[in-house]
Amino acid sequence: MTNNKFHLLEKLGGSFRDPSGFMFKCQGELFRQVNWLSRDDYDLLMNSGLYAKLIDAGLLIPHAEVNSSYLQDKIAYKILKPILIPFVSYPYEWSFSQLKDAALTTLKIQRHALDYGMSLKDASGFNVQFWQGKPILIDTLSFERYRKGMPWVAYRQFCQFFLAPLALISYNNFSLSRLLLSSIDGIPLDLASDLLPWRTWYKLGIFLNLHLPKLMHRWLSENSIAAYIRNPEKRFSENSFQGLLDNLQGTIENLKWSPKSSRWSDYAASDLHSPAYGDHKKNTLKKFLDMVRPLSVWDLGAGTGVYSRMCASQGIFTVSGDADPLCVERNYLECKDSLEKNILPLLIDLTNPSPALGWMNLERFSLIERGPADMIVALALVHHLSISNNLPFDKIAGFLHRCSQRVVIEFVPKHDPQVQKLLSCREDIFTDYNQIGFEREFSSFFKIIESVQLDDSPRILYFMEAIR
Amino acid sequence: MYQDPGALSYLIQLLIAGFLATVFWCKWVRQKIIQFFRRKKNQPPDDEQ
Repeated sequence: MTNNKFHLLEKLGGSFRDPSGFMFKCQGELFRQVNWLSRDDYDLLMNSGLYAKLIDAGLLIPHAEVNSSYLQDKIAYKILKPILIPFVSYPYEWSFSQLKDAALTTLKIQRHALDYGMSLKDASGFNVQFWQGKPILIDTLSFERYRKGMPWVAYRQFCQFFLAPLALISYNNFSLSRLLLSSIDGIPLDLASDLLPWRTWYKLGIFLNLHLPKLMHRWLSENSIAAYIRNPEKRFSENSFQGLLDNLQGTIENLKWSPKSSRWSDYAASDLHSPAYGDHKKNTLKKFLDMVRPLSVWDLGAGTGVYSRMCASQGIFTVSGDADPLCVERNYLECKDSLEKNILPLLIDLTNPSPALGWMNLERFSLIERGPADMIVALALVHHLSISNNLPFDKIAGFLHRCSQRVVIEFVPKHDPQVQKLLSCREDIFTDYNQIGFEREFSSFFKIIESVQLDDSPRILYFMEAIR
Repeated sequence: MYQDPGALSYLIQLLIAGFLATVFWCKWVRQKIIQFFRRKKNQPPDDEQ
């Protein structure tokens, strides 16, 4: 380590909006710079007891202060080294309950902050990550000194990032949460108000926090509103603040989403496959995991996470992705009930994975940019990509190759009942969909280490390693 | 990611706080009234004293 270590720093593309500081990489490690501008707030966070309280409660990402005597940057006050989150995920990839828990965590943190004379200055969904199975605040510089009488500066952001999408899912349709993809600052409240059904006007919390802003905006201009609020800091007591937080908490706790079933939610429990097939598949997967001992696995097309739990039981951090929102929801709720720390259930549609977003497409990473994984597990998936989505084998192999150097993949032949079901309502145009074609196309990217014919099934499980 | 809150956000919070305070005050007054009438009902009549 030279005396000028930090002159090699590489600022993260998305870390520029907050003048309090920014994230950067240096020699492969992640750091956070605290600028002199936020010295007082940072010192108050550390010395008031709030930091210790939040760490004890598991609500804030821990960090260590690094020797910053090498700093070249004159605006830098301190350098922090936070604990690394194994996989960064975004609110548009979360299930309903994940988003709800993230919202309630943000409110809990705000309550604790008030007890120590501080307040959150932003309540973005991107400030929360899932670590060891629970939502946690990762932006240590989100805190500012609480100014008595001042309303919550992050209130609108909280409503846009959490309340609006949760209400839209609960009262309308889960697909509306994808609006978070196109609105990087959260779903605009007037849009949410327009999309919510009329019965939400009778729900007090939804009316006050989502419909009322739209009405006020329609009746009053921004100038006249500003004229009413000449001295906001003299009118909003701490009791009012607590009341607002109570109202938001109660509103969010009352939001529910529990559809009875979806296309894939009961797939694992169905009796389509014999126990012998299931056991052989689990044992073979375990054997492949033992061969490699990966640190991280992406289980793609995970369903409700049956095989993800197998990976996690080996101590492997597993991203458990599926395109069915109810599967991801059930997976998360089961992880929560069992206090599972090694699984991160996420909404991942492989035919349209999360893109890079934000300024110059640098603020939020695409799914592929957040790799590579040590290993990918793609069980009972390839026939859905090929047959239902017309994806040729070489495209699938190319995508998996970009995501990982090792793949465990299950080939489902055409005479399998599931494939026959997919072909029952469409013309069979898949002349290359066979084992020879599969192995030929995948061999351009991977070397087949081992293949196993599964018991009581025509399906074959492959373990492959990248050749280039 | 700090976002400009806007004057409308402050106005809404003041309105919500005012509404909640009014609801709380009404509940408090209602409770006091109920307590008053309960005390009066439990008090023995004047001619029995």
